[in-house]
Amino acid sequence: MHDLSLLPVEIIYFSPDLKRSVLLQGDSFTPSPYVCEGMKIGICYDLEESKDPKDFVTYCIARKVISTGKQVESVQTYIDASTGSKRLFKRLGMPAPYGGCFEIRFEINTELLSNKFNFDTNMQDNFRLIASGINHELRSPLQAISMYTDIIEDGAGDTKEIASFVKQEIKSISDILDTLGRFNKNQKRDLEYEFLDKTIKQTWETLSMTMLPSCPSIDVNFKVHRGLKSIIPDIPKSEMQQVLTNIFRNSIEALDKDKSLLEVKLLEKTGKFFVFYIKDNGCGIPKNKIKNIFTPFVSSKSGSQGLGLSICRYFITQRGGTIIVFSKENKYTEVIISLPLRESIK
Amino acid sequence: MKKLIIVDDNTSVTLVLSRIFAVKFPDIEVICFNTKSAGIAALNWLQHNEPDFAILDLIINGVNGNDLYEFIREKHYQTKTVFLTGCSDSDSRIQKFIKKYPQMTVLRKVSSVDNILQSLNL
Repeated sequence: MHDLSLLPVEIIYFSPDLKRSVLLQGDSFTPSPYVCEGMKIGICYDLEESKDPKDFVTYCIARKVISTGKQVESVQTYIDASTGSKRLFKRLGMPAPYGGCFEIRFEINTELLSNKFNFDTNMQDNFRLIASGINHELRSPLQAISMYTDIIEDGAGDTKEIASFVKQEIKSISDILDTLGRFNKNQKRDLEYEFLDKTIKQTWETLSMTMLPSCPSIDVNFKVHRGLKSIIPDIPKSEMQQVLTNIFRNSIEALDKDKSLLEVKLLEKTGKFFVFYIKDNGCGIPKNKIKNIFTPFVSSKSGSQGLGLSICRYFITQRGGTIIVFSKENKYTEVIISLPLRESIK
Repeated sequence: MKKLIIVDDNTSVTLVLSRIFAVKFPDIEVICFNTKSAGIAALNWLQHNEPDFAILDLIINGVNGNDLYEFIREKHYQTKTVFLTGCSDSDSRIQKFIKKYPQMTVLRKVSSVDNILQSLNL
């Protein structure tokens, strides 16, 4: 048995009609990939490294099952590694990234999807990450407050001035708690649902009014493609707005050119799910930072709490959707989101 | 004049510490690195300077307290070093560090000024 974790891996998710594919590289598939019934998955691997592709395919699926909490009912390989892949990539008009490709077909067992154990496991993972982040973030302002009180005890400083510093620290703790409060927002009330294109336009208008005037050098060409018109996602409007606000804000901060482009486009729509992307041509995310973008309290931006994308992932995954990010430094950032459709308008 | 570097991505912690040192130890020059890229800035500074004391946040983005300490050791600097961290004791990164350098003092935030000064033998 090979040490499969060392193999170079690329996974491609295909839409049911094979018209659209998404390439995930290396570990970037750790955030749960979007999967829906009938969707096909191609796994590319280096044939030089693995002599037993069957084991490899099984391993990849098993890993996905564990990491996403989604269960696969059956796995069936049906395209030969050496010849099938060439035909497949030719059909897609894409060069094969590695020497071979396996395509596997699976169906989701919906009973297992809602399995409570898996849900609890994901919740525990989320909770562990959040708890560790809160612990880390709150301790620094508390440390500062503690040291200020030491100064007062020693009679070594101007108490009025110190009081104003302490107030600043208390505000900083309060800001962190306010941001955390958004995780719990609208869980039981305010369940208004809205067409996605309307939510996108409203969110953009609000954000561009507040953010763009402070960046006059940025002239953003904001494009919303037509395909989003008939979509009502199965996520409350307020949560969708929060998700879009966080992503748009990141994009605006990444844009620094005169001809900046930010576009939102539908990728595909199946019976129960739809997938869309938000893409900007900004500075992108460095390769070594992309793996931590969903980790709470991790940010390379000054003044950022590093909670924006964790909140996005929380809202999306709570609704059974997924969010993944691709980025090339100095070229683009693409956020792909899949969400269930509202039952009433399917 | 003796030199102390304070590296922490939290501005408040570095400011209050530098204030305390300015009052209690006016003969110690305090150099603070407190931006998101504090580690890299501190590393650049350490290339050409040997501090007498260092207060390092163990876990920060990019170059962290552990990396800085390893650089200090590599340079054979005689820097009295103490680490501060906001992470819990059960954090695997902290455990790994303590296992590697059991002789080092790792103080958990919130720690008193006295604790920090004692760890630096001040």
